[in-house]
Amino acid sequence: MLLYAGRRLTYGLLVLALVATLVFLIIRLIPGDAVRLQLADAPGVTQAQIDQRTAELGLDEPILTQFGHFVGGLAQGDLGDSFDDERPVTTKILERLPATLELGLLAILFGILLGVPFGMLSAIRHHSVVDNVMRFLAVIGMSLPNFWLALLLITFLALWFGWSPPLVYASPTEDLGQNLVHMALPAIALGAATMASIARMLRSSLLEVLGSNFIRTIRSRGASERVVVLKHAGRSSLIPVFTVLGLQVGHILGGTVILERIFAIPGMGSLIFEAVGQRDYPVILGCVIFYGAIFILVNVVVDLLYAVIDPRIRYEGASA
Amino acid sequence: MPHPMLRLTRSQARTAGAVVAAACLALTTACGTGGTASGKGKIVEDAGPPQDGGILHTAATADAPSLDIQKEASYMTHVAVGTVYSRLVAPKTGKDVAYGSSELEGDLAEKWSKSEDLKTWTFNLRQGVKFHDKPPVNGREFTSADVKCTVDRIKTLPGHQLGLVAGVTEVATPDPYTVVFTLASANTAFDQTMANPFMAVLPCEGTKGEFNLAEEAIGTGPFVLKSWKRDQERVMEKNPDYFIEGLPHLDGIQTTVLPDAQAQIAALRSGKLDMIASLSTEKRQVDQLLNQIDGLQLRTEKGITQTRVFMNAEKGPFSKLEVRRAVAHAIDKEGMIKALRSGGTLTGPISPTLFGALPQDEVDGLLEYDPEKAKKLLAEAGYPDGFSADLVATDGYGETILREAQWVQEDLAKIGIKLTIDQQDYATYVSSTWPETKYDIMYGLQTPMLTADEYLTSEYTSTGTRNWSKVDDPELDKMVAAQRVITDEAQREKALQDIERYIMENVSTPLPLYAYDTQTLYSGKVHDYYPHPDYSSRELQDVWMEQE
Repeated sequence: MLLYAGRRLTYGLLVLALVATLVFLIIRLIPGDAVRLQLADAPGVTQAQIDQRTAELGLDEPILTQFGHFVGGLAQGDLGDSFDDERPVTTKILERLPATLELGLLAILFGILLGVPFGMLSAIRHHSVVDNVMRFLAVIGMSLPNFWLALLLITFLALWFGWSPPLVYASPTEDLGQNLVHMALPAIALGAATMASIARMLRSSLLEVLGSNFIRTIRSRGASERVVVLKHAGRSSLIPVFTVLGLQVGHILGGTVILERIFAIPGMGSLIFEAVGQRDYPVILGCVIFYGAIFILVNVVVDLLYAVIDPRIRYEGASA
Repeated sequence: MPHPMLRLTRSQARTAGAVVAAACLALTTACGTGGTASGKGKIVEDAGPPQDGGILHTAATADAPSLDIQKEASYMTHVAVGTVYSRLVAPKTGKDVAYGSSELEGDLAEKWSKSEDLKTWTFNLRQGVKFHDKPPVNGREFTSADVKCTVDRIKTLPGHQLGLVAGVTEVATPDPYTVVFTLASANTAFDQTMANPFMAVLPCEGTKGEFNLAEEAIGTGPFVLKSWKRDQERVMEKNPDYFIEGLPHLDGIQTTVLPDAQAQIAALRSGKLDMIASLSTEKRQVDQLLNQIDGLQLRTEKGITQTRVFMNAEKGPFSKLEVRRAVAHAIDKEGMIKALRSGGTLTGPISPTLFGALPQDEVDGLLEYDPEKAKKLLAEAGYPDGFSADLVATDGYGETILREAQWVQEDLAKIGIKLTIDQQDYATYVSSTWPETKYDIMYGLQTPMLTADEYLTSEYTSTGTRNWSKVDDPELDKMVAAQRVITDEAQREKALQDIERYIMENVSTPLPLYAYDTQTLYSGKVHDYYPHPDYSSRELQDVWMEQE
């Protein structure tokens, strides 16, 4: 199992390296110039000043040399300095990471807490009114873009109840109550799709398991429906749900970019949003690497959890 | 290892589509309730005597990149810390002062005078003015030395603000309450220069680097910067020692950075915000808000931001003057204003509120909507059947600009110029396409400048720092250089108007269409808000809020 985990992590690192290389090249290929964005607002800026700033940022060197510096720094765990305020990228990201992780976790929590009961209910009462309503909600949840759902929530809560989220973000240590109130809407908007995916996946896999031979055997031995669903069927139908969850982490991380912007949450999402607007290459790259690493790690953990949930699953290399 | 595929049947997918459509419909209906805004949004002019107290909650769509009011050219910096500082003189604002008026009043200076040859300007300063009580300045008295420190510092900084004091050869401080400026050449309006928001007077401690001007602001203005959380909020507190007796009325100003317009609007609805400034401006949305929020006041001002058609004068079909003139006549500007803006004024290169602008009827004539004339001009240029080109626009200025670009597209199609809109992200547009003139024709905005000379020199002369339409007209270069040294006000105004006329007839790029009206929405309990377009926010010292 350790061997398996090691191998998955190595693959993960390779993927991350590829992603970083690709993003490094792509952001330099898209038009837009970090120096001009910094200076162009001042009408009196001369070409000499632009050249000087370009040299300061190392943007006058050939792309391969720049890439060399980047890889060299990366090997030592140094993501470079932001073009914008010249602070280390790692510091900037670590400041912003907690808010994004909190938002992501809340969204997943929302998804699981609603998605699991919805899915189970749907499966147990399949083809009933409850099932149809749940499936309808799930389809809506999966189809609505999260930012649009967020705007609907903001607009209608203000319109109907005169309520809007707090203006200023407070970290959980500063004011937990205000923090959670602030996070509620973006977490719901972000978690809606997760909730829907989990509900749908759990419903179909539970139905499949409930119809299988071993459940029939268990039922024939007189087990109550409760025991059947929760103990026997529930467990084996959780595996696809975990797979979905692993993939949903990607959607959630992506969603933080726009939702943090809408709700003025100082997380990694709003950081990368600003960095793209400023063509702040080191920050963009740093954020992408962090996002990628989180996604890969989560999915490795999910894979390892399969064996915990269902002991029948063994990974190659592990002794039986 | 099991990896089941996620399945969505075709019928389920169809349901999903229908649901989205239904929700869209619900949204528009809900948002579209109410009729016109007639009678709504009226500003309460006579709210009685000002009351002290209260915190004004306002929002900004982006934060200032830094707080250094002289190093940073961004107007967002000026908006952010304008109320912290004072200038020697400042534009007058108030109930009886026209918006954008260049009438001045003393700020740190009590009175000022100019010598006969216009080369020596003397400012007599107020006595007993205290800086904010923050280390390392600690509330010490402001003196003429601070003015000298400030001007000396500006001279060391890059950027166009240097141009403002380039003519100053000496700053003398004969005593703590007198500053004498000696200029290299006569300047009839040096007091206007000193009223520029860049001319905020800093304490010498700041210019000498005893604290970081990019992160801290200590001045003599009506409000003290209490805290700044970058990209989140700025908190201002009343300056208890402010040199104008009885001001400011507010206990403080809290500005939250809310990039999303919908989030700002929601906060206005819920009463968390008292004011949304310079919402630029979806007419329909403003009408809705006025219908929905009781007592909401709307201030509409003649704006100075010009909408522009930029055409490449160097190559491509638009390098022909006749084509550019045809474009000027082919676009129905009045129609655009009516349909897409809450108001606007046709403009030449010099915004209508500025000194030197052409009389309005003449501008209207030069920009007249006349598709027949446009077609004729196009034929003269050798394109009787028109041609095709890409029209660049960005979503970085908001939706309205894209709609205007579509309007331009439709109008030009009528005379045979077939445009395809190339929508770019703001960073690409502003840092590459525009300054590197990578376009044939482009639609967008120009950040307002504060004097006629600034517009003419930077954009229309061959060596101008923002000559990004590749204008190259030696005659025009000469005219622009000549107006700068005219001392007689009437003569200079005429020279500026001649230049403007010349540009509209013989250059026609960048081609300004109109300056659109700006709007500020604020709650019914906020009174005496008389803004000025210079972004200094000094007018907030007069604002007061009804106390419950």
